[in-house]
Amino acid sequence: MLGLMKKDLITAKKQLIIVAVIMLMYVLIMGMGKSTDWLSGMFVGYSVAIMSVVPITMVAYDEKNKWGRYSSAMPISRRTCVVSRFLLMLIMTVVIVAAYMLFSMLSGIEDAIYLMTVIASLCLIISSFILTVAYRFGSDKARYIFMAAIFIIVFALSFIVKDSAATDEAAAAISGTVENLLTVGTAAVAILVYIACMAMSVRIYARKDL
Amino acid sequence: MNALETERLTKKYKDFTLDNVSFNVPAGTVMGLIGENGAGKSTIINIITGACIKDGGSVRIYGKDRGKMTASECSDIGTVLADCGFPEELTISEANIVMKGIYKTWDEKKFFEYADRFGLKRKNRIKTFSTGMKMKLEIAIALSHGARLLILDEATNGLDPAARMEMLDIIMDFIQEEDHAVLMSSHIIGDLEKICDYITFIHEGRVVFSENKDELLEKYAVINVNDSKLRELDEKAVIAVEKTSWSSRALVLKNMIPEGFETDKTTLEDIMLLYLKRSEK
Repeated sequence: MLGLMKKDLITAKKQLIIVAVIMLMYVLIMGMGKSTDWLSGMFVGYSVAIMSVVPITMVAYDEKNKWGRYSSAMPISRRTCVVSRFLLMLIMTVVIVAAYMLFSMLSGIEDAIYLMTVIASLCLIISSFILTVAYRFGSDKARYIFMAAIFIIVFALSFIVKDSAATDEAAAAISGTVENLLTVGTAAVAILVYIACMAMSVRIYARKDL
Repeated sequence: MNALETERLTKKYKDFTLDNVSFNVPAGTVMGLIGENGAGKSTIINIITGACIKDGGSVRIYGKDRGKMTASECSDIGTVLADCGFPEELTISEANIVMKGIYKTWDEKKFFEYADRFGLKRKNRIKTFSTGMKMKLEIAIALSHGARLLILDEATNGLDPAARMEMLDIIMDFIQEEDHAVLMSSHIIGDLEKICDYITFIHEGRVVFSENKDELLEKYAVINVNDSKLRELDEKAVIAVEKTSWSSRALVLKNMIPEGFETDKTTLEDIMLLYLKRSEK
């Protein structure tokens, strides 16, 4: 499993370095400024972007190199191939959350725990979903499916949050207890989605002709 | 002992079926797998390596069911595939790091010795390598984790004659160990004729024959005769005929043709091509 994770990291090294540098610059430069909601929002958006692009890139590299066929004779089960990638997504999520923790400390953001949970949950959900779709349909189709899903979600959200005054009122009405429940609920959903997607991906990959 | 046993392998695709393929590769031998494009050679290799899920039959490697092999038993298998499967973004040093994390039996010293011997620079990315160098890398990897069964799928295609000779020499070195075995598919039948002990001919998903190479070349002969001479022969002696405007080229059983029939030097390629002609009819 360690060998597979090293392979993924080294193969995507260039991309990961650029992503890490941008994130570090963001944390240090923007974090020194005034804390504003939109900065946190940008961080969330950037994290989601990373966790939607990097998993597909890793699957795409494997397809390009025909790694699946080559590695089929190696002493690694198909289950291990899938689980190692999901574990890597978990590790990347932890790194992103740690970066946000640094960012929130520098910029004095309140509600950091809640936002860290949202970031971690979104990263896990997005990366798990996209990995499963990529294993099922291949990386090319997964990109299109993902873009379609984002379009549908944003389109739906634009109707829901049309009335910004009502949205602000609803947000203000959330008390401390409800926020705590939301935090725990979000994390629970993310963990369930992560485990379910991993199990589904293991099944899909086990039955595939590589 | 057989290094590899396949029994009644079956795989169904929309337009192609691999149909009850059975052959064995004894330890200490080289088996050549020949057949036209689309015959099923790569499908057979994919089933043996585990890249492809079979619909029926069994594969045993050194007596173990392929599907139930442990991690250390899987280290017995080394593969060299025509389209290099190793991530091209890596360098030789990085390839070593990855393989060390995959194989418990990985021999780093041996790997770098092979890399140096084949002229593969450690800091160079695999994407900068030529076809021959990529094949040499795969061979270096296959020989650095204690593989006993080497499976090559068209590994010498695309190599220049010198590189092909070097590859064949490496295979001959490898087979010196009594318990080692090689299964190699190739379109360059001349190479197979040089080093193989056994030949399995696949055509349209079926095994046409799986025999000892020397016995095969002894068994069959190619004759060039006119139609009237051809009619003199026992029907059972004539395996396949290729007619031209002025004569017939026939594949015959040597021990069934009478004295006086002149036979041409028979090669594996002749046997395969004439068999294909027979099936076209």
